[in-house]
Amino acid sequence: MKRSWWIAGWSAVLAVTVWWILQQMSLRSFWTQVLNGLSFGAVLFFLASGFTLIFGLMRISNLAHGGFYLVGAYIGITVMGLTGNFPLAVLLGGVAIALLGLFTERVLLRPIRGMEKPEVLLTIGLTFVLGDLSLAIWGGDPTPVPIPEALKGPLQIGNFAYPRYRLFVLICAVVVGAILFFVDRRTRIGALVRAGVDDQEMVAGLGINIKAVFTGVFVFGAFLAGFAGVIGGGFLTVLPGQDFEILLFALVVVIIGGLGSLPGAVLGASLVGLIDAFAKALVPELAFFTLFAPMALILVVRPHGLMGREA
Amino acid sequence: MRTRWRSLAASTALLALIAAACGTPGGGTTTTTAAPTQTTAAPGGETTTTQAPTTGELEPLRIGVLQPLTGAIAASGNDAKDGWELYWQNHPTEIAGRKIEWRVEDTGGDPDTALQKVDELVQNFGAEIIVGELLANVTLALADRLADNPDVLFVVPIGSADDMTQRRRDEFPNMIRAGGWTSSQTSHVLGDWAYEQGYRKVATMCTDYAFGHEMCGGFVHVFTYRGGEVDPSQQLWNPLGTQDMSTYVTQLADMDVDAVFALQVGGSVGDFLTNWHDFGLKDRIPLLGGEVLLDNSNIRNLPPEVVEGLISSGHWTEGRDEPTVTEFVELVDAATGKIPSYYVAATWTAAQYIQAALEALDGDTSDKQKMIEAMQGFELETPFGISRMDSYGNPIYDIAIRRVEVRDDGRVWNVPVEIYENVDQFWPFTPEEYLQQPVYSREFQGNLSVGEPAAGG
Repeated sequence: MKRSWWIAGWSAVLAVTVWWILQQMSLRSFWTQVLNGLSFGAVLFFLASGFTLIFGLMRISNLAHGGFYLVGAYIGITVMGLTGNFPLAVLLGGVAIALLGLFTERVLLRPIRGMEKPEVLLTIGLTFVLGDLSLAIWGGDPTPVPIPEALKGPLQIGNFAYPRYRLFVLICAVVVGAILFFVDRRTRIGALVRAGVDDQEMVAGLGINIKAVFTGVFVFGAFLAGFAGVIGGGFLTVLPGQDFEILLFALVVVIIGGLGSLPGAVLGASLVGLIDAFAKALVPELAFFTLFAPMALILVVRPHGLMGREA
Repeated sequence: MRTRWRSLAASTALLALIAAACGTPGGGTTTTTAAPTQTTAAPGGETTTTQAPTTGELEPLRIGVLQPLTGAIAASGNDAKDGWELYWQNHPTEIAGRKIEWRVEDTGGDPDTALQKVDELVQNFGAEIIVGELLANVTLALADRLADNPDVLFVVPIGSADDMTQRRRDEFPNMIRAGGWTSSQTSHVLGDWAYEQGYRKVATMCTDYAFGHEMCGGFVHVFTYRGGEVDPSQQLWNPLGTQDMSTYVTQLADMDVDAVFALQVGGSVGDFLTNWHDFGLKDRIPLLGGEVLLDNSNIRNLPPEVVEGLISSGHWTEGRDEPTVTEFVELVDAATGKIPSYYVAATWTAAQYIQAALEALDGDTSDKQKMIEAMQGFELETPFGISRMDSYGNPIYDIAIRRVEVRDDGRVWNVPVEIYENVDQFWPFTPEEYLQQPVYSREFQGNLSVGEPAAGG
């Protein structure tokens, strides 16, 4: 009973919002903005899903995730410059950051496991180090990741034009999301991770090397951040300072969606992307307010996020 | 779990502050944000260049250069440093018997750091001249600090806040904009040119801070003064550091206008231009860029098809076919591998002014007011073309309408389409008319097509 009331309430809010938005803009711009929001949300999803996996399992707020994103994007630029091979750039961007993640987890984080403040400070410090190293290596001129010819320009459907690349990013998000869900729900690794989220000691007690699971998840989360950097850099220009800006968006996604929850990352990323797009279009003065107000509201109503669970 | 939550929420709030403070690239802002991260991000990074021991009896002339060499706008700051150093690598460093010594210090783009460094430069290094900075808020902080010190000359080649050489001129008696400009100076010209092209209704898309207000206001003021129309509801403003410009571009696509004026800074430039191209607007709506939108530093890494053919106005035009310009461009290109941005040209020109003043005063720099007077009397051939000063200490240039073209080597640059000669900061108005109106802001865009006509019209 209570649940159906919630659903009815949210549906009503959604319907009123959409109705109000349609009073302000044409149907065509409405759909364009929906696509804009979702394609930006797609990049946030790549980033936030890695962050949320790491946090869910290891209880580490990896604030270096934005730095991982930025370095991944720069590596993508370099690989594209050398080979012009986009899939290779995406792969190498991800793999390089996965190695960086391995180093971070094994060497930097392991000695301070479980100490919350040192972990936060270390990861935030790492972001600064990565930022300044990137500046020294790649310079600071705003640069996009070059994209393949086939994905450039608009896709024309009737009189509706939409950039091909953004559609490609959307499709990527659907594919990656599907893979993540499959692994999470249907495989042994997924079962291990889910068990680890619920009760680490129990899992360790069953004779499973929980530390190896930690490392694996951290490395995979880092891979997703590097992957996000290369894909996102195709339409979000890469430059110093973006590490913190994009991390902020990812954190809002995670907080809205619920820490440690994959469906939460999907929902949060879509919501943040859509709110960002429509807020910029309708109330540009309040662009930052409209991003943080829902977050504050959700923290009040559901302190663990929309899909998060009580701990 | 609960405390984890709280710490995550706190980290998020902290990051919001950091992002707000970091995300301020470009020409200027008047808001002063305390940015602890900027200071921590800016240690070291200083370069000391000391020439060989002095031979003559005269004291060397010591110059402190302050630019952001780390942080979000470090690329532009390093360009500025390059311009300064390349000048002295190619010119004698002993003038009228005085050695030139300088130190380049990193501000990290932070006013507090800049103030700390400037005190050190003046008191310990003994700097008589300070050259800086890039951001308007840092430049204003420095100007305020140096205003009480008659023994220091403050040379501002980049920071372009309008009022420093306009309504607030008297507050900064020892400041001069050698090699500099005011934000609205170059977009005034574009407003006139747009009307001449037959455009009658224009929308704008500018970054929501002082520099954006001033560049955009300059365009709107002159365009509507000539008879054009700018509907305030079609003036879009995006916050600094906007991550995804597609929303705004989509809105512009739906507007029934003859052209769009745009000014973005930092990462938003590439986002905006790429979206403009990818949504198919590049061939549909003429785009008019405020100077830095299409500065070489912003376009050199974008795909040529995204920027080729775009129009802007500027005091710096790297593709100008004049010996002083081509020699300069070739020299910088050979040294750095990049076609110079306006930041390189600006500090180079500042150095040129300092050399000329030193020669004119025969090495006597004791009276800084005399140096300012001397500089105001020069007519120098600079990378910007002929540079003269108005009585407010702001340069008068030939300002070009520029178009982005692809060179034979595949790189892009701006070439002049039309040149407006002798444009000062008040053009086309007289200083008296112009100074009656307030400085451009989001509320005051000099828009004469709606409401009360402003003074100057």
